[in-house]
Amino acid sequence: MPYVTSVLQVTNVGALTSLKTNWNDDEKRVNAEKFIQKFFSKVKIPRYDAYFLFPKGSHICIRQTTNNEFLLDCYSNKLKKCTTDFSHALRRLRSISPFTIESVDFESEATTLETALYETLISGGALLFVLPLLVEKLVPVDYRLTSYIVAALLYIIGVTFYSWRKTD
Amino acid sequence: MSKRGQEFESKVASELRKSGFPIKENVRIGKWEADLIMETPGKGAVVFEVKNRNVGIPDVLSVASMANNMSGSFTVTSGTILTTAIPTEPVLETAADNGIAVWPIIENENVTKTFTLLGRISEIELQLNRISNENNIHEFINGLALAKKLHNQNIIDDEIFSRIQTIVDVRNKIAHGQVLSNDDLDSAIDNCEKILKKLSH
Repeated sequence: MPYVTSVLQVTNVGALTSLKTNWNDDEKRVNAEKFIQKFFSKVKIPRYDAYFLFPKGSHICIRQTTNNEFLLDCYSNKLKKCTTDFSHALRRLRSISPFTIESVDFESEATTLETALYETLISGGALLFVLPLLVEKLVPVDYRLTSYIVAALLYIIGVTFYSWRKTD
Repeated sequence: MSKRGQEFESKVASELRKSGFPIKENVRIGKWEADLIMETPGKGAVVFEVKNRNVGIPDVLSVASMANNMSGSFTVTSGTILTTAIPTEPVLETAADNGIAVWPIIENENVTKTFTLLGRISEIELQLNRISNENNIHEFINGLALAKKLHNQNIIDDEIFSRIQTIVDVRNKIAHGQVLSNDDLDSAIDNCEKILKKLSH
């Protein structure tokens, strides 16, 4: 599962901590914990001070670590959604309390077989499969269709396997 | 992974090998890929995650998941994160709750000895878990509870228990970014070797 983690140094602490009174939402916490547990199985999920569900479906979890430092973790099942929601969260927090970002880190799990296949198809594998069919319609020759299909399938399997095994 | 990240990972692997620990690189465990794995005799294994940056809570959760997922193939497992940055308190807290050790690796002339100590402490952890007959990596790290339990049951004697306490203190210092002197490292490694010798009897 992709996630973003960051440490924020907040200059106007009062504004952000006053928001904390509205932070304790048990339903949001339970939903976020269930979501995180699905990907990080058999582990103890830490308690955060606040849990937010953002429009693209990411869970943003915030914990105040010292008087002027906050830790933000964003969990999502898609990296793009995670980054969009994370910048959305930063914009919203910045409107409440000015802060500086000490560090931001992106991380995502190894590619699943399904993701690798999807990426292969949209990055040209499907075209390689469709083009020979069109060519064959124009120039009919024995076995050519079969060999093209086999070549295309081999290409898809090969690239899928490569991107599935590659390190993030 | 960035080039600097890869360089750091290779450096860690070579330092651990230099200290005599068998290391495998880039091992797939379930849906995750572990940077390094150290296998110990008696089907024990330690997952090492190498981070050339700050460590976040999700990093700890993924290493804990990997160590747990490996418990099917190994008798005892444990997880350690090696980082170039000093970890924040919530990260150390989550790591302790999940039985994961976080070691900031600070460049100094004693870095090879730090790796030897790291490997030895991992071996002790696995050995204690094996003795207790339960793969509970949490308790040793979190407040010495497992060592205390074994001490109360007279499975480990006073001498080993006090040596383990010293080792935990040393590790806490390292986790908070303190650089240990050559003598301190030597005495900690010596302590570990004595514990391992006694535990294997």
